[in-house]
Amino acid sequence: MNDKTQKKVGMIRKGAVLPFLIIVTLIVGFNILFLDSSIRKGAEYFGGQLNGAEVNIAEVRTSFKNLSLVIRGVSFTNVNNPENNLFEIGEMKFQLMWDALLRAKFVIDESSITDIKVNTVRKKAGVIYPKPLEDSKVKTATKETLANAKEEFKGNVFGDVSALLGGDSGKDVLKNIEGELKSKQFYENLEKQVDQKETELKQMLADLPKGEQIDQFDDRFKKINWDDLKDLKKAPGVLKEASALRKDVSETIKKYDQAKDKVEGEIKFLKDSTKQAQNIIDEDVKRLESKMSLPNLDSESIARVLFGAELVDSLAKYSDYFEKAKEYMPPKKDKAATSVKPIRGSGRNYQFGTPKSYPLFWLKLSNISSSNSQGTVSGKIENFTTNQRIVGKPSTVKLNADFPSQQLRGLEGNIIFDHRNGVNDKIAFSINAFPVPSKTLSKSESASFVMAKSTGATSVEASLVQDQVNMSMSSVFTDIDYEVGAKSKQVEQLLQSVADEAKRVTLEAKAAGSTSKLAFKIKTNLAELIKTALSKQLEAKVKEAKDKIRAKIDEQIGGNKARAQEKIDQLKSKYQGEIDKQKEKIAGLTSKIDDKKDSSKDVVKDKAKDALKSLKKKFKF
Amino acid sequence: MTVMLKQLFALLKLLNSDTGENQLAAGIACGLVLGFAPALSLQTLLIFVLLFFFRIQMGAAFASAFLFALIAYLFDPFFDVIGQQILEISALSGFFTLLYNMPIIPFTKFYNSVVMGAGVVSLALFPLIFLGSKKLIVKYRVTVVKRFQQTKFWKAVKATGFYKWYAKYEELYG
Repeated sequence: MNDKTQKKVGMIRKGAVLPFLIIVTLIVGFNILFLDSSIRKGAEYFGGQLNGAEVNIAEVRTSFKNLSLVIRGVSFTNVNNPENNLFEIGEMKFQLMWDALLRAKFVIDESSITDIKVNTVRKKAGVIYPKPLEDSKVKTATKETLANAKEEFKGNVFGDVSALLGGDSGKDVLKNIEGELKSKQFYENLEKQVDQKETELKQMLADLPKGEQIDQFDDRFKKINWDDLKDLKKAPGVLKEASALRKDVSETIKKYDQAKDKVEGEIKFLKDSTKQAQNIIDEDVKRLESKMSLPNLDSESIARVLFGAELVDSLAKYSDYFEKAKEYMPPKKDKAATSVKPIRGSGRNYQFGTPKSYPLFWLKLSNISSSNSQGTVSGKIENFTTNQRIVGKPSTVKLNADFPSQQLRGLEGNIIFDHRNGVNDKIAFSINAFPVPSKTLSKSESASFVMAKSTGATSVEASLVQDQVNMSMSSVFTDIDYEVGAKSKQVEQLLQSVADEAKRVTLEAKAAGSTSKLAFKIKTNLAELIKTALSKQLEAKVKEAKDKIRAKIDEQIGGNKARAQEKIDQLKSKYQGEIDKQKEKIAGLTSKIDDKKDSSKDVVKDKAKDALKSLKKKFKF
Repeated sequence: MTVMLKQLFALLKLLNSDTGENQLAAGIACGLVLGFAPALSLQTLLIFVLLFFFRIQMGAAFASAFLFALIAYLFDPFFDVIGQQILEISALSGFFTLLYNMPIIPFTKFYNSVVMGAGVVSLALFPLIFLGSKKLIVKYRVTVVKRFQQTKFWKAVKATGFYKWYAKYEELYG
């Protein structure tokens, strides 16, 4: 190798110390100078994504010495009104545990949230973030069910009423309905089916023996010398010939019976099909009714149109909370579903005593306490964690608030997310009084019915147990200012009369069932009032419109219906008649053969007796 | 990757030079502990700190870690038995409970039978591997390297202009 003399070097890599010191200095420097601002920016970003609108944080202070985090001046922009904040938090303090941190776990032993304000005016309007496009693959069953329900609740009661009273309803709808009538398509198909069946039956009938073949049976019968039956010697031959003829005739009759059964079966099938037609006609009528937007005068349906969308929105909100809770606090999975990666090979893990195990994240307690010029808030958040099984307790939120200056009175909230053994979540929420912004109950070009201003009181209870959703909502609206308007005077008067009577609106709503199939029940006194007001004037009009639809459908399908029926009747008379006629021809032949055979039996018997007598005489018995 | 390759070239250079057998032997012994320990554990981190601050040949450590990791995989059942025997010693149960409930220490995963078995075996073999590899390196240099230097092929290579240029470069910048 080379002859270069190696310099004597020590055990420690002196060259490594300097880079190490530089890295440590950089880390410490970053923590001192940039950690707080990085946390602030990160929290603003993630908070904004969660809120759907800009979130601002005035100050973040971290302390390694105390292992504490203080966040001041957090304001959440109101998505619906970006000029205002949804709420503002004066200060949040978090105290982490060293013991847990040394185990790479984040445990907040105690925290506090103080100085809460709602609906404060922002210095600058907050930015609204566009909702991320939902991937259809990850769309949950609940979201899909709710979207379907919302679609189902779509409607415009007063717009429909106005159209009906104005006589506009259905003018265009009934014009070109021919192509879309399922009943018409059904009868056209039925006609084709009848034609096809007729071809089949024709072929079947052609294959049956008839004419000359049937006449041959008569010839064969006549050719048999039945007198030979009296002759004991010739009788067996005659009987054999008769049996062969009888067998051939029976087989032919059997073929005709089978053909008759087939004809009857096909006719029965076609007749049953015509019975189905009635249901299809009814469906056509219903579809056209909804197309014509005939107002449904059933109070449950009116209630669904008025408040259905609101209930679905509310349920969607709670469902989102439940989904988020499931995401961040995953419930216990079946053992088969959890894969525990073993530490190289198949070792065995020993446990010594009770381990001081912590979940990855655990907010043990957060006290909420606020009292300012706006009002008071008190409550606590307990045991929010990534693993409730380790903690052994459910995550809970208790909140009481009262903001007289905002007219938000007696707010109470109780949330329990229990994922220790499957999902068992509950949200209970009530407000004694809150200002309700403009609430559009029905709006169209022809008529609008809006609750411009009112005071609401509501209580909501929602639960999710495994995949069973249950939600009940009870609301009362008082001090209501209505805004009514309609093109037609008659409709406007009608709306005004409803508004005059509905000074206090109650709403009872329920949604229950599995996440993929929810049943809704909505009841409101407003629906009853609308129903009563509308019934008198509309019942006759609705009936008239419905009759018009039915008549139009009958007119459209009348020709096809009659033709199909005529063809079926023809099928019956033509093929059944032909078969009966041919069968009748040969049916008598079997009885004739049997009669001949029976009558010859006595003659043969007498002959045999005579022969026996003469034999006895001969031998003098 | 560049660092790894650099370390491997340095390993070859050092192996074929006349010095540094302690660095190489320590690297091989550290590789034993590294290969026997789980990838994400406190002891692995400790070895990396040692490699960084002490003059231990990193290329030798990584190469032997790779080799010993393969061997460890085959010997896991054996380590499991040894680990179980140790972890079930009732006299040590108090000590293990103390370690188990201490912060940081559980990051060693000592409570796993395979990790404990492999850890004890690697600690026991550490001085033997160190001394053994040191002897083998010296023997390798005497037998293989010296003999190779006597071959006609090597003499021919040394006579080329390229080698002379390389030797000069090594002298100046190596």
